Amino acid sequence: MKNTLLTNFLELYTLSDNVTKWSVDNFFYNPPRLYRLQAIDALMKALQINCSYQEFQHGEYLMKLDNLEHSELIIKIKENYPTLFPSNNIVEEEQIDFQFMFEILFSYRMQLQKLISARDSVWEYSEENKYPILIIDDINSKLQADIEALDDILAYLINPKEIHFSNQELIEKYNYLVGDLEEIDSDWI
Amino acid sequence: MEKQLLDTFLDLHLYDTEIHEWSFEKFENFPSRSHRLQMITALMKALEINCSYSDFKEGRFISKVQYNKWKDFKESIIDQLDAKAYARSLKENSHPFDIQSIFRTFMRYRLDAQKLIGVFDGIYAANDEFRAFIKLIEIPNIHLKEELKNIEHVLLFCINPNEIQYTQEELIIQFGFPDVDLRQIDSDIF
Repeated sequence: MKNTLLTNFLELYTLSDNVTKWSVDNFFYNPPRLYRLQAIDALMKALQINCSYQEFQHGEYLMKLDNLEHSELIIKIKENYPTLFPSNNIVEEEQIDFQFMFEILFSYRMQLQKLISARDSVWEYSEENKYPILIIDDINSKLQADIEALDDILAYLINPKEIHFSNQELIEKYNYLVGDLEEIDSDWI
Repeated sequence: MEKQLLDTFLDLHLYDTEIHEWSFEKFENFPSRSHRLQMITALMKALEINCSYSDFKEGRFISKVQYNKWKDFKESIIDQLDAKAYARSLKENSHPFDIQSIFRTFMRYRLDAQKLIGVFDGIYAANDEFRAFIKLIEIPNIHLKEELKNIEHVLLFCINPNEIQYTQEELIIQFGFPDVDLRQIDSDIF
């Protein structure tokens, strides 16, 4: 389930970039969007992120971490990324602002998603236009490793308490939808 | 000059993405923007690009001029990709419309990429912790900048196929290029 919330959020963002307008009502007749929104709802609930989509985007849920959770998160990140927080100064570490860190990284990640998915919306995809598409695909694939590194860090910030749940729990307790997203997307086209 | 035009265009687009609204009236009270617009206007004139700013973005200035030079230019981009994929992807006799379509696709991508590259222009590294995690963004940006070179090579050819050159002084006198220090102007605003 790692980063399912992130993936769904980013995908929905490329389909509809005004996060403040995300709602079941607005997406009622658009299954690809509706399905992703409902997946986001279920995952946010399961991860105990109780805020609006927009507040999530700005990392406001991270302001609710208590001191213990805050220092545990630092330890976890340091274990895997020793260079990320170079100092061992406890006072400085206390000041690490995860909300701000998430906000910056996530907004960059959203913009990055827009860049790499822009190619899907090139409607003039044709023999004549194949050359720029090939070049763009090439760039996008070279960015993949950086994107994964970024997503790994975001995974810690999205689930700082490392809450675990099974797929079945997600479906039964949190209304996660059972369905084939690929099929939903292809039916829509 | 073509590089300066492209860079300034990308820069102004970071301030204001509504290219069709760009005007000296709109930017009257924003010197950082109005001077950039003045630079863009002067450089377009000097490079004989006679169209609106949004037509520029869409490559609507591309004509027989680029088309006639395309065949030679293609030699310089032939090694960008695996030769077979490339040969299939670029027809021998590109029409001006095809070059325009290449320009448009690349320009859109380049403008989107600038939003990533330019993200920290306004943010100053406050402390060590901040600088450390900012590296997570700087690394993809370094890679992205490197990878964008192929795209820029094509964009710059389209913008100035005849390799027109003027000195800074000529630009100021003949084309109304602003005689200002942008850094100074930008820093005054903060």
